[in-house]
Amino acid sequence: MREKARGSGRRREFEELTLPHLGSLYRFTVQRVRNAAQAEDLVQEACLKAYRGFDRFERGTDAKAWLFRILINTIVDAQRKRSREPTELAVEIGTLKAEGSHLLDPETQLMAESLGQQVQVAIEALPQDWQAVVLLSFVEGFTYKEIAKTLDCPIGTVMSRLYRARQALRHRLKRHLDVDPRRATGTGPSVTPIALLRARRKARDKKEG
Amino acid sequence: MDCEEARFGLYALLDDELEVSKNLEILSHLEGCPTCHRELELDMRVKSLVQAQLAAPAPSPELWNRIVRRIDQEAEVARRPSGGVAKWWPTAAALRMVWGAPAIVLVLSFSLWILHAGQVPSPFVEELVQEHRGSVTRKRGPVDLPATDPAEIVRHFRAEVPPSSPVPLLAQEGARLVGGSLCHVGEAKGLRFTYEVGLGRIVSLFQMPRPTRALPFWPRLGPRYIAQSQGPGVLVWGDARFLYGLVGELPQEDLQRLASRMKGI
Ligand SMILES: [Zn+2]
Repeated sequence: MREKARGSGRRREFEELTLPHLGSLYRFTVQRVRNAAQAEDLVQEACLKAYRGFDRFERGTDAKAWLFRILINTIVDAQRKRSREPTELAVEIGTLKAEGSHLLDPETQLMAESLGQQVQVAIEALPQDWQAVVLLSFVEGFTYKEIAKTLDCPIGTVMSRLYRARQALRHRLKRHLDVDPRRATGTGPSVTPIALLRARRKARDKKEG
Repeated sequence: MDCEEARFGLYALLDDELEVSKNLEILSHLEGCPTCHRELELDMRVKSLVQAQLAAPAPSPELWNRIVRRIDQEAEVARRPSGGVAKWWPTAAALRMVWGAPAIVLVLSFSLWILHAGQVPSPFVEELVQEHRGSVTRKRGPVDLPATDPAEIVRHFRAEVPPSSPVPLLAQEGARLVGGSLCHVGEAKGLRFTYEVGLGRIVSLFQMPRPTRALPFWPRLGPRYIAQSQGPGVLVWGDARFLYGLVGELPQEDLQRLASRMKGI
């Protein structure tokens, strides 16, 4: 009986730590595997793994980084497993799939697709490691330090991946990045960078001092 | 501060990662340097473009409940004293215990042969057997969705596999549905219904949409396509829309008997 109570306490604690990040975990996974059901499977698997290893999680440290780390390993394992399937088979049956559109050459796709789809394609065209850094930084709002912890690499590596990913994205999306607001088609910041950064600095000075 | 130094800090500045003093230095440089300013502006646009345009799908509201159910299942099994296999109703972990035994896996390391002499085993049949074997040895348990009603399984995966009507059901007495999973045969997606048929034996019933054109991977199906492996027996057949496969550690006659009494197909 006591054991049971301890078990449910442990689960409640796990839920408190994990549930707030479930949306982020799922969003990240869908972005990587492009398939809703598969993404849910992977998130479920990652959460089960996390729960099994919950005793090893250092209380008080960053649960988000811990969960994403497990999730990324789970995704990589699954993708490795899938890539072991014979390739000629994959191509043969792959032509049956209606959602095979991501197999198209990205340049060709740029012609036909909406801005959102183009951004999507540009992200997918990045190497996996860069993709993870961009998604964690831009979408999930991770700091460099959190990304480094999640991906288990030095901060310098995070910065250089992010740098190269930005260059690649700038190249691919260049016609939406025109700085002249009269010609720009993308949604850019309406204030100048300096104004924005100055405002941000001011806010922080206030908070700190 | 020169441009090179400023550029180095530019991204960090943009991502709000610099300490305040450094921040100030770069800001002063930016005000006097249009080139660096343009660089920064472009990078801000990239970031906000990605943030604005990337879809933000949400998981189904059921996802967390499913996770909690699985956690509880595992905890339940962990609490039980050794084994617990004798229970009529097999739990996920009990099945894993039976089938995960290395000895069984060794015996199952299969070589397929086909009853029709001279025919080469179809990769389709091999993949079915692999899927079946995988279901009883994989870490996350034999089924994705524990269920006792096949219609629930079909409903659950309807986004992945087009629903069939009527829903296939193994109706033999003593065969009890444990749950269902999404399965991949080649690159095609199908459903696997996992049945327990007594003595801890598992039978997998596969159902997948029939490909629209002939492919070398798929067996050239007669009315029934029968294969036997050293481990599980295999029975494959099809109708206009779906292919079906029955795989299990049963003698061929038993498999055929099960198939002949199937309801719904
Ligand atoms: Zn400069």
